[in-house]
Amino acid sequence: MTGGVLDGPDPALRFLAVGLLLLLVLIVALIRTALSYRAANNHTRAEWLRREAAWESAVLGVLGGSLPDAELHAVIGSADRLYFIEYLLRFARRLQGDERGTVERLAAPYLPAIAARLDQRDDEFRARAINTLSCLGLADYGPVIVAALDDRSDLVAMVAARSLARPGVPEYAEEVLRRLGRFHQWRPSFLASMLAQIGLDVAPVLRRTLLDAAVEPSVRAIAAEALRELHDPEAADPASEVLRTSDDRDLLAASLGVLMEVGQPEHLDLVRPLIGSKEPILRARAYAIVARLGGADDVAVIRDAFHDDSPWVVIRVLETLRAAGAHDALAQLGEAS
Amino acid sequence: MAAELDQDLMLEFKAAARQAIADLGTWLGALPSDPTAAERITRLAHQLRGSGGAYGFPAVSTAAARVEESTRRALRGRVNRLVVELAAVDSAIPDARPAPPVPVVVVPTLDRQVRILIAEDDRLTLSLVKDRLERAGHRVDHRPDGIEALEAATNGSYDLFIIDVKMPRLDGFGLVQQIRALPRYAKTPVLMLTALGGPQDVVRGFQIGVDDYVRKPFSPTELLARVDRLLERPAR
Repeated sequence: MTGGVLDGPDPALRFLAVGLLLLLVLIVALIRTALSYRAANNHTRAEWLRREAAWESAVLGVLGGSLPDAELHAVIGSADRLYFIEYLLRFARRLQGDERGTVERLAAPYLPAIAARLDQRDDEFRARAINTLSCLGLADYGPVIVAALDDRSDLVAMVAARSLARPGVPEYAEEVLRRLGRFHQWRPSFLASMLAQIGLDVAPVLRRTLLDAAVEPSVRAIAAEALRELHDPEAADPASEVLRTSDDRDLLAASLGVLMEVGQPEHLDLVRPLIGSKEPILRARAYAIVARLGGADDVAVIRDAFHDDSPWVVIRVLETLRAAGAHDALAQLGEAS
Repeated sequence: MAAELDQDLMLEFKAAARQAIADLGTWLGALPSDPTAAERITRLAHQLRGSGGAYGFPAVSTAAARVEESTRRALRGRVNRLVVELAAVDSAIPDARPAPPVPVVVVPTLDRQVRILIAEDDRLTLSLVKDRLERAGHRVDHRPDGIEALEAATNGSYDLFIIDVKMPRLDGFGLVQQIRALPRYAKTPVLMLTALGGPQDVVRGFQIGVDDYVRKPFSPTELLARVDRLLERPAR
């Protein structure tokens, strides 16, 4: 007998069948692996939910005064300490007052492990550690966070700066201002807002910085911008002093910004010369101050603003007059032009 | 934890706890006529709470904390709850011997439990608020968005609303307007708990009938004080 079915299947068919079988085995193995991974994930998730539920109950107990701290610490396994700190952060972000203090007290035993992370090479690890320490232990770890202002990474330094510029906590402002020059990647307005959020308690430090000729003009300008945001009435005199002593455009513009908010008619003598500046931003702000604080004699000066080369100067003056409710002056200027 | 304690210490705790309960009962009996009784009860309950925790009996601590809280409320005439809670302290002590009888106090005016609806989509904030209000003896319902909260308000009966501003489906301002449109809630206190604390938000809230604001992050103690103030004041 030669050939035919009795000689067995064609080798190609046999190869195909074996291949299909292997493929089937592979698919089954993949499905099993995927299912086991999913089951493991579900199990882990359920375990974490169970653990967090126990933690939540304990933390609420401590906050409500019905559970001593020691009993909560007893349920935190040594392997879970870092996770527990993350968990406490969620509470800290939502609380203030006595309860915030309680959360910080609960976190205290675990923070040394977080501080140890500041030695890690990864920038993000260090930044995260700074954020956690400042949120849960600023009172104890203030010097550590101040030291992070000089970290080799700008990201870590910025997280430290933002952590220290906390509302109602002005004591670190000088340290932050001293390093402000390294944050040139961030916009000056952002840095000014960061300082202003500390509140009016920071104003004396900002005024000193604004007047300090040894400080970089860009940093002094940020201090002026922060004072403007704070509407600090005592900033007018330092700002007018800057007009007398500095020729840095950004610093002058920021100082004029302060006078636009809190300036008085007695500051006008230092402002008027800047109407003749070649910098549109200085002319615009000087005109705006004169429009807000000036008297009848200044109408002619304001009228000149309408013939300024820069449309921004004209717009700025119009805005100021409108905001000041000087509708008669506006009408008068409109007729004259 | 309790098993690790010295047997003598355990006996000492139990004796002290029993004595505290007996004293609490005595002062509870004196509560309507003796103005210092509430202060003494609070102090005893506080000590009992601390020692319950220290000796490893959290149930005693919890029950004593409730006594402490209820005593404060008892100053406003809610003594009935205090009687119940005092009994709970007794039952929380392990291996209880027959306890001295807790005197039954007849109180002329008994307040019913206050019902509060919280509309809040942040789970942890909700837990913080709910826990504090329940510890104070209030009955609390919650809904995660404005529409569900409105349905609950329509179908139920509440004495006070605590409402977040930023919620899915119907925001807090919309919810307050809808609640105020229901005649029976025209004067029901509404407290907004929100991160939107700008002057324009506050003004808008007051214009549509919000009675008070608590800004996030918040202190549950302050929140409870504001809730109590809203519940005690005459209707608008």
